[in-house]
Amino acid sequence: MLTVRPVRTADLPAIERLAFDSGIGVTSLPADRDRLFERIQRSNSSFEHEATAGAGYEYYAFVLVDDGQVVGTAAVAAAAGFDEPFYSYRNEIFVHASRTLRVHNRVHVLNLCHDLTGMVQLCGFYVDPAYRQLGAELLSRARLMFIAGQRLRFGKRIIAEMQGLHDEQGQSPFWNAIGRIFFDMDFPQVEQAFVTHSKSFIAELMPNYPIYVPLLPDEAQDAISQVHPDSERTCQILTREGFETDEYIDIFDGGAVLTADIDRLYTLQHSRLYRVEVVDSLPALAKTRLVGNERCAGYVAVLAASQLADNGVQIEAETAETLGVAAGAWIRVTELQLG
Amino acid sequence: MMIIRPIARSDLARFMELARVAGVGMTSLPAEETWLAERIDRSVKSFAGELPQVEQGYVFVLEDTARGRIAGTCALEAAVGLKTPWYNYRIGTVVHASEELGVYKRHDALFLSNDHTGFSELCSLFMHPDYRANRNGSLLSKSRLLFLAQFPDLFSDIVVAELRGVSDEQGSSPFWEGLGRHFFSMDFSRADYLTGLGEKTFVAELMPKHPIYLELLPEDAQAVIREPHPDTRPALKMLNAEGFRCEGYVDIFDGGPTVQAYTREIRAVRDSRLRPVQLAKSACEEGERWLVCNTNFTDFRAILVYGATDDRVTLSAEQADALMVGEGAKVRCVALSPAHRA
Repeated sequence: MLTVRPVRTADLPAIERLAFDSGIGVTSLPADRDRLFERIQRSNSSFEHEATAGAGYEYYAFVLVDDGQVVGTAAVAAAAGFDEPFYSYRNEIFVHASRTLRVHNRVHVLNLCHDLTGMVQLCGFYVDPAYRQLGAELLSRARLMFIAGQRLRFGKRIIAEMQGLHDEQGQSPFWNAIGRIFFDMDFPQVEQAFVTHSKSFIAELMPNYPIYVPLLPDEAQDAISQVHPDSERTCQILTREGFETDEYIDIFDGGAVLTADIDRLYTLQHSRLYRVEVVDSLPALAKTRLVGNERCAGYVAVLAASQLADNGVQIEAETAETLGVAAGAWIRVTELQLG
Repeated sequence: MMIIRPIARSDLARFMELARVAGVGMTSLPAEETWLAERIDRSVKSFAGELPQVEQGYVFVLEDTARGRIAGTCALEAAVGLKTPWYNYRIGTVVHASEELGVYKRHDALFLSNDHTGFSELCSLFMHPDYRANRNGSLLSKSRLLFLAQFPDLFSDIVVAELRGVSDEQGSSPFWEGLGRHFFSMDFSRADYLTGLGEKTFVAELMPKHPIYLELLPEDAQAVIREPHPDTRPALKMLNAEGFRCEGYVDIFDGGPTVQAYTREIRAVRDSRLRPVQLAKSACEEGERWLVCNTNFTDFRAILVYGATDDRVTLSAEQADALMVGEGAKVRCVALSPAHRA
């Protein structure tokens, strides 16, 4: 059974392997053992301690497990940037108009901003490609189920950075047009710098004046707000949830930064709590749904067959056991979006 | 004789002819009769002392008295940017550095500025091709410097001159194509034309307000920043010799250099002297060339004179008539060109 649970220290080797496989562009998952260990420790303490929205340091990391094997990981940070500014480019339109000359031009401008600082951030997402379908949806949305269950731990707005366009050699057209000029570094080198330096530390070297998009080479313009093919599915899962792609982009590779109001996300609006009813067998037509318990440190979410009744949900014993719940407990249930 | 004098209302037809010869390349002299008439009117009123400083603009013509032709024109604006904003790009330095990351990068960026607001401006210089000889160009251009020297209170402490930037024979400017073009639905020649008509402010207001990193511009656009048009190089050389320097300001449309100097430090201003006139039977025909003007504001006149003038200026009767002076009157004079220093 595909299961999502909080990461444990023992998962470190598996996480390290995933981080290595994730390659370029997933900067929130550095292929560096010390950094990953630190993250896991931070996650452990976040799950165990009481927290409220706006506290800042909480970082909740999860793993996707199949038959005892860790095959994916994903996280939620309570406040993007933690105690540092979180940089992004905001897509803006300047109108250059003159009544006298009868000219009216809309000019696309990228404005460096800290707008997203302190928002809840979905990050560190990577699944083994064999689990890109159902596994990815479970892993991604289990975080939203967790947020729904632990609503007071999180603020109002949520973001997710999507990996931007780059080729197999790691060349990013957006980086080459802007960042490279300011760093003399290739994109993969910068990714390496992220391992030892915070992203905002590096962002502070980026141009702080607005960038007029029409001045950029075509291939850089074309990369703005785009999503790397490897991340398309992830992006699709989140846009179905109600995330929007238009307003912000990553300052390094130009990839879309998705934003949403947490309370308006599909999972928040449509997941519901039901009382557990354990049954020996479910009807053949019982649907596979996303099901999660309401615990924090003991959080578990699974993909499982279930049958909804008035206030109850029928699940099989194995599911109940995996979730660690008994009959009469409350569990959160929501429909699959993409299947 | 070649005489510099203020433009007169009766010059309109001949002024228009000159503007036609100037053609498309010369945007500060558009062949638009109403525009030229207004320009003359403003100059006449300025010389009559009827305008406030913000509106004062002095237009001079070089007249070939033998043939009754206008050979060229030039102008001086008392103070730019006081009625409508005056724009330049200032090339500034931005350093992005991190010792920890081993990064130190120095960048040039274009900052839109109004820094020259209130400065005086040398402008609208045009010489008819038939007269581009015999130092007529220097007489035409530098006579303004004598005017500045004689009437410093009318002008700012700093004088600027914008030099035409690089464009090809089709009138296309690499700087415009790399920058301005993206903000307009307009060709450079059109923008340039509007500029000549005094609509520069409108056009400028469509330009990007935020600094532009030079390295984000195409290479051919970067290459022409601060570069004068090949035809303008002699003018730049002359201004440089007089002490004008490019202090990092360029034109917002074609990237051409704007040069500037402190008025009192301009060679022709600093070195000019008032000397009494001594009448002679005939004009001296050899020796050093001197630029000489009278001290009359409304009837300002300037001519070229040969010969040494250690303590007085020797003029023929014809030259004295041209300058409207008599024996013993004070005239202002300066060597036409800076002395070659050993």
